Amino acid sequence: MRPFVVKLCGIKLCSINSCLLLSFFLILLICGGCQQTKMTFTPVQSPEPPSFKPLINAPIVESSGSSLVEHHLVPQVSVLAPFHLLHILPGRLSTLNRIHLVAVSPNQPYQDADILAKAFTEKGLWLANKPSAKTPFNCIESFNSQVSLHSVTLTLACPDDQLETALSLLVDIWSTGSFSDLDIAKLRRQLALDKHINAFNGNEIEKLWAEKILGQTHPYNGALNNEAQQKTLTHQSLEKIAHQAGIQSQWHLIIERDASIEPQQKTVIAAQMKRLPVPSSFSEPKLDSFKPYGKTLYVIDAPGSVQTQVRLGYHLPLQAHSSDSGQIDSTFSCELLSRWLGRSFSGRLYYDLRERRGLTYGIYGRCFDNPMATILKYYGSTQLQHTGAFIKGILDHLQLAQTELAEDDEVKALADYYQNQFNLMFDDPAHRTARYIQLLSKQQDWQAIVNQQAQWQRLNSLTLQQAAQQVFHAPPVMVIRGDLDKIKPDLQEKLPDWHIVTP
Amino acid sequence: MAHLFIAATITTSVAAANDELVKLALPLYQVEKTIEYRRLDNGLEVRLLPLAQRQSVAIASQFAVGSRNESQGQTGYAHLFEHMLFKGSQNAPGDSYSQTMSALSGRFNASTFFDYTNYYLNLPSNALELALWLEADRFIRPSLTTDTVKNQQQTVLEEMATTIDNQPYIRPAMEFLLKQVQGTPYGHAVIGSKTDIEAATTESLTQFHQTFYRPDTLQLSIVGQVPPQTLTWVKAYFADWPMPNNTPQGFHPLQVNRQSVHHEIIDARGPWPGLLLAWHTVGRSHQDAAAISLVESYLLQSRSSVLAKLSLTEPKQLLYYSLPLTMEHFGVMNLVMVPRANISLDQLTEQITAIIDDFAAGGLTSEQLKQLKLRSLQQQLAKLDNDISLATTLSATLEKDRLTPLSGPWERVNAVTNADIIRVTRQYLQPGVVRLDLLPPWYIRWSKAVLEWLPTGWTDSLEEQVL
Repeated sequence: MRPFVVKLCGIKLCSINSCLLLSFFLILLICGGCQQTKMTFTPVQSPEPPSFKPLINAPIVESSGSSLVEHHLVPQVSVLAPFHLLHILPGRLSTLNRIHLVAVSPNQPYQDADILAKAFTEKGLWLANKPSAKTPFNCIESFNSQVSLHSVTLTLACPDDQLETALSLLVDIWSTGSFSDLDIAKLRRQLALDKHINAFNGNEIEKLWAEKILGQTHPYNGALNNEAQQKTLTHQSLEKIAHQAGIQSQWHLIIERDASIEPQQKTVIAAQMKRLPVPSSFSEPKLDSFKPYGKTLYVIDAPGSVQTQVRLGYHLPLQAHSSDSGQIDSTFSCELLSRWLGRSFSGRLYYDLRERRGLTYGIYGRCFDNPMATILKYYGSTQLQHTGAFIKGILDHLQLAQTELAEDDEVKALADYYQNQFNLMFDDPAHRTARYIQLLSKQQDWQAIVNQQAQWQRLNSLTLQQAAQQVFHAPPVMVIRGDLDKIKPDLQEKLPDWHIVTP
Repeated sequence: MAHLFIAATITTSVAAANDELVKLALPLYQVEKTIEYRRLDNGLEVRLLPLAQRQSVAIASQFAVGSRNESQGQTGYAHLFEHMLFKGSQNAPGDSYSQTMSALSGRFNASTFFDYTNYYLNLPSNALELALWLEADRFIRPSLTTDTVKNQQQTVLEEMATTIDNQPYIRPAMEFLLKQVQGTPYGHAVIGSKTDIEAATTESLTQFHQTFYRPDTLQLSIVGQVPPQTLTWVKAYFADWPMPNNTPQGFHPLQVNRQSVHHEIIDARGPWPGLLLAWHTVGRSHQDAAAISLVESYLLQSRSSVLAKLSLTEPKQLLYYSLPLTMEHFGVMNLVMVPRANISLDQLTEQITAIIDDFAAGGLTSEQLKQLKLRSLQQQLAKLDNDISLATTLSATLEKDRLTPLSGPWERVNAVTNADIIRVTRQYLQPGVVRLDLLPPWYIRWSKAVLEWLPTGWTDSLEEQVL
């Protein structure tokens, strides 16, 4: 049902649901004092790529060239049992061991992952406030949980002598009845509140973006924002969600620590891991059946907002094309194009739209290479009067990337950037571990990104153009959020062949 | 005899607690011992921290210049100038700094606060000399043009729209809080006023640079794979930067009137009421700063704070958050709360003031104090685990910690007693709170008022439906 909306002076007051409560008190006002100010829209300019000129008289940087993983950073992996693996990574300067219990589900997403995320966060609060005899006091405050669609990571940072206690606590969190002490009504309220906060701070655009870029029937969309489940959540249904997550998981224990793990400790760890839910529900990956929308511009009308948020991008084919098809594989194209146009300061979009034209505080690109979808996304915001020029600016760059070859200096800067990102990641333990977990959730290891390095080292302007032609030849999926009454004339003028739809 | 036994037990447990803290704190001392400290003749403070098994270095440069240095009509200059330092210098014109760093660096950026401006980056160690050459060039010889100033004025206005004006309540709440310290160096927003930003010129910004960017206000820290020639490079690129004859602008602790203030703001875009509470405390250079940080953590900010405990079941608020806000000479303990449907803003305020009054009366047990110190220590240890954050921490060192940048702050925390905790709570939190009610339009306020009168069962059910 399309909600009835009350509008006053062009400002949305409330939807019919919340109005039920307010209707006794709502007095109709006459909109006599509304002022309409005519807005002057920013004109379009031709796209301009950055020009990369070498510095004169600057100290020379010797090439490091290495794209191997340093020996001491290669994880020591032991199989403890089927689907139970132990990975030892180097320790950190603080000497606090990071202990990560990671559940991964490569072939299917975790259903109601948003509910799980909230429940684990709340559980962390309970652990810190209701300590038991076995709670490792001096590391319980460090508890952290990270839930994604394909992985759940529970982490503690503890001194050497707390390793086994910490692991026991992490395993307990997955046990039956673990959430029985939580205030379930509070959890329901928090989940509902998140939805309102997202609308309040503009993040509602991400939900519509996900619906459109993935396609409404994609399993990822079904795995999140299940309002019916959230509204009726009970201890039993939460238990069921956690149980299902447990039985579709493979388990990895990652320990960042310099001291070695003695065989006796390994036996204790293996015994603890045996208490985890037994994997029994692995499914085959589903085929991706996304269909694009042509030149359709989805607009979330947000009366009163002073900026327009823009999300624009592509759903790339999931299966990598073989090299003899002459196509560049999706993962590489996605990484390449996200960084070429969207790598902050030196990305083409940031350079042109922020640094040259001042249309935005930031415009970025990112590749979401998940097991069941490869998504290329560009995102940024602009003031209302720049909306048309900003969006047209992005579209013009997608076109330019297909028609004109990049200069060699620009290609070199892009390849250097990727190489250095790779090397620098290994000196940042948090980043390194997060990337490693991401690889595990795709059943890969470091070798996967070492292989990708080789593709980057062969990068040239023709490859870039080919990737752009392969991906950008069709109109992108585009979702924006802004004050439609004010920006519509601008959109119609600057994007005359796009069909505006308000979902 | 019994007394003796109890005394012995207490002494033993206190000693054990101290042993545990001493053992955990060891990495702070071990890392600190390996830092090479140098102060160049021009006053520039250098800290080099070589770390094993690294391929990269992190560089953090913190200047003691922030919005508190700005004069009337030039608000926002420190922040705008920070933007300008990415837009060209004598040897790296135009966007070549950003382009070079973008190719080399994992992260490079800057931030401006009331007291300081901080530039940081990390990059492969083999590019360290180039990075120092570039940093020196932009700090000493920035090159501003009419076009780049105009462009960055626009960018800052976009930043203002994104972070402040696009959200209900933010601007009026910010202006109200700043008004409490009007007439002091902390009396205006870091981002400045739109009028002042638009009025900035190449000349006025250049003058700002000449006045405040000087070697004796800079702390430069380099962490990671630090090559042996590093100090030579630092001297080669920074030592010729002359120290001005005058001393840098000095500041003093704020004299704050700690009486209670109550005010409200109404925002037509507000979806629901909110409550902002603030207590004027002390700056990080003050002798009570360590005790205040423990009190804030215990009452509001940690995962096991008093408020977190009270909120485990049937909390009075839908959500709350509290972040430390500490400047060099001034601090604010703050709390933002969003009430449940049947709870008024008055009730939320009463709950918090009651928590503070209880705490001021009793303080902590020795075990609670130990836990609190442990938590603080772990936060300090966590800074060691990221090279950029470690370099940034080193460059933010107070003069009194010049040679003990890691252990100095920890030792002050470790020295806090329960008597200190009670004293600072009575002195800084009990006398008065600044309260700001964040109110939505009238129809939501009226509905909310009705909900507060209804029986709890009804309100809970209505709240759930509306949510």
